[in-house]
Amino acid sequence: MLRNILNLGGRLLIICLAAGLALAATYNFTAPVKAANEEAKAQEALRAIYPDAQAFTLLDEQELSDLKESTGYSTLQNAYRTDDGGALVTVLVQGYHEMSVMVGITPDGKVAGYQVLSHTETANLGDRVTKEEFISQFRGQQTPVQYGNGVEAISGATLSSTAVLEAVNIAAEVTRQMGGA
Amino acid sequence: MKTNYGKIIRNGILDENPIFRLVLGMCSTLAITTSVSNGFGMGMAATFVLVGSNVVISLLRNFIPDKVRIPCYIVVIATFTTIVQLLMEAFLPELNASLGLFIPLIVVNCIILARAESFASKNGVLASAMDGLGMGLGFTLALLVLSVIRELLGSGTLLGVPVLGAGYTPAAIMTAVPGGFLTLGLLMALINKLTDKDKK
Amino acid sequence: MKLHVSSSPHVHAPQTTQSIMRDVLIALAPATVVAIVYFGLNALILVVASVASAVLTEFVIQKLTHKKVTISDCSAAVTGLLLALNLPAGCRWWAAVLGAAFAIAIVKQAFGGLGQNFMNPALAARAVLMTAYPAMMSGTSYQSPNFWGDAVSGATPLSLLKDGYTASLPFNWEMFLGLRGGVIGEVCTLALVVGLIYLLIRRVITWHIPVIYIGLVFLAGLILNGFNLEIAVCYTLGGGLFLGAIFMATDYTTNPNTIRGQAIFAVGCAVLTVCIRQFGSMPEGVSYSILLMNLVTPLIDRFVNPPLFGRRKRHAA
Repeated sequence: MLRNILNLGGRLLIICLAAGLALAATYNFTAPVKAANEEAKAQEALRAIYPDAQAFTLLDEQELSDLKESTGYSTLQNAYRTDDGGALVTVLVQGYHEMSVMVGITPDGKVAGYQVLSHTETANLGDRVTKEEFISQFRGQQTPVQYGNGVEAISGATLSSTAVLEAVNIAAEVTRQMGGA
Repeated sequence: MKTNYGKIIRNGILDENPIFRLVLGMCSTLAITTSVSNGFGMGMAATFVLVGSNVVISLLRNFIPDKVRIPCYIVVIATFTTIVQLLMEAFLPELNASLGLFIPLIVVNCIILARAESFASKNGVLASAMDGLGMGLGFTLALLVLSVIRELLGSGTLLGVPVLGAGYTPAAIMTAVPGGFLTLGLLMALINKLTDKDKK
Repeated sequence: MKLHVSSSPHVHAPQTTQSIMRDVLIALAPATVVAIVYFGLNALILVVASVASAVLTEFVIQKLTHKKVTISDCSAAVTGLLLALNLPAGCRWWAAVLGAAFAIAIVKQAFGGLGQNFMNPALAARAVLMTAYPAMMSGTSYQSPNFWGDAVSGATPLSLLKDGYTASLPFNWEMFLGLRGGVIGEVCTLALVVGLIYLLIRRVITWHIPVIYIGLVFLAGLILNGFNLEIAVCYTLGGGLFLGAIFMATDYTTNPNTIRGQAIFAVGCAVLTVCIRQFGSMPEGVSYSILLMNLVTPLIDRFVNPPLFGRRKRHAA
């Protein structure tokens, strides 16, 4: 009886050990590649929103929480200072569902661009706010942005559109705060 | 002996096609086939896991005791799935992001466990590899057919390239779940009708 | 004298499928005419496209499957017309064609043809169109009647109610006559009620489902809006309630066989409609509630139907 259990368990153990080894090897092989990917992607994402800057500095924990307090926006996720005095701010807003939007604001308060980092909006309806057609309406607009003069909500997706509008204006205010600080 | 292997592969693609005939792996199928690149990526990932696990389980078929065979199979399948996932995260990050949760779900894709249980545990290594390949190809083929239909009608694109022109209003239902069920059901009806005719 | 030998039944009722369907078409005529007058050319196009597509699809499918072609019983035409009346004025003609084809080919014929469908084909097609083309089927597509020139697109009374803009609601008499936004068949309640009276006189349907369904929704409207009679009437007249309760919920195949079952069915529809209107994200809930109750109908039948002659009554197991 005991022999049986030891036999079964032992064999299972051997298989699991072999599996573990294989996984560890693969992990070690892929980890550096992954890290490099993410670094490049982060930089690329930032430059896609704010093409005029060369360098981006991430705000550290303390600066970020001070900023959250001074502006009153607890939905702030992170913020980068750009080397030309502008900023990239990530906020959480509520469209049809929650969205994470990173907005680039130039030093003179205009919108450099934005990107929806994550969302679960409806396909072909709410998710059109992530597409270039909608984003291009915002570029160059002076904040605070309102509907009218070139900025129109997507018909049938007002919630998602307004959420992005909100995100842009929040980012502008935060940038002003950062500039002053 | 050679024709034997060809038959095994063909079996997986046609007679016992995992999606249209065995009706296995439905969850991933319905969720993934919203675009051709997703369908193809998933098919390839599943094929890798299928061949790998079939080969290993066949190699170990005398070593794995009957009483604990399911845990052993799952460990092997999960290992291969995780390897695929790690490789995709590193080398194909966009595909990984769009397939999302469904890559780890390959572990519980019934096709793989079913083949391990019914074929790999009873046959030689090469035959099991061929069976894995056949089933994997059949799966991929079915996924491709479904994704082409759904992406074309639901987004007007193929592989992300707009094909039907600006005048076409995409039918959003095709990329949503109801469209998946409708397409799959109608395709199965069509295939059954065509193959029944052959038999008669 | 010629003696005619045949088997039972020897007493025939005057009603055939064709005569019943013809009566439904006549009952729908006022609403259709109003729709075309109010909403113009596109409404006519939608009606024609939908009916033509439905009849053609049935013809083609019955030919392909070597079955008897039954388009002359007008049931496909009725489905086509009902679908058209459920579409907003801004809907494109090809969507109506696709929807009608889906309704006949898949919901009706694929499951066995007349009398075998498990849900209302016109409503199912409407649900599919709403999922397939959300932008075209909602929002700005709802238009208010345009007697002189431009259609005014805007919010329907129910969506106004849901968002709380009670000040901009049309008057109740306006809603009764149809001077408000909505799909082309639902706006003129008067035309629908005329149709209901005709159907009742011709004994095509019984009063139970429409009266119970509409009555309960009215009651809910009273209760939910603080017993404000005017708003409750608006709540009841708004949306597709009359169209659905009179013409969709009463479809023979998809509701229970017995009067008691039909009453339960009507109550269920009313409850679901109010819940969707109240708690759901859509302002209108009639189509989905009827569809859901269609699915539950076999269950209702199972518990309510009297036992077959010679069989023991089924006890709760």
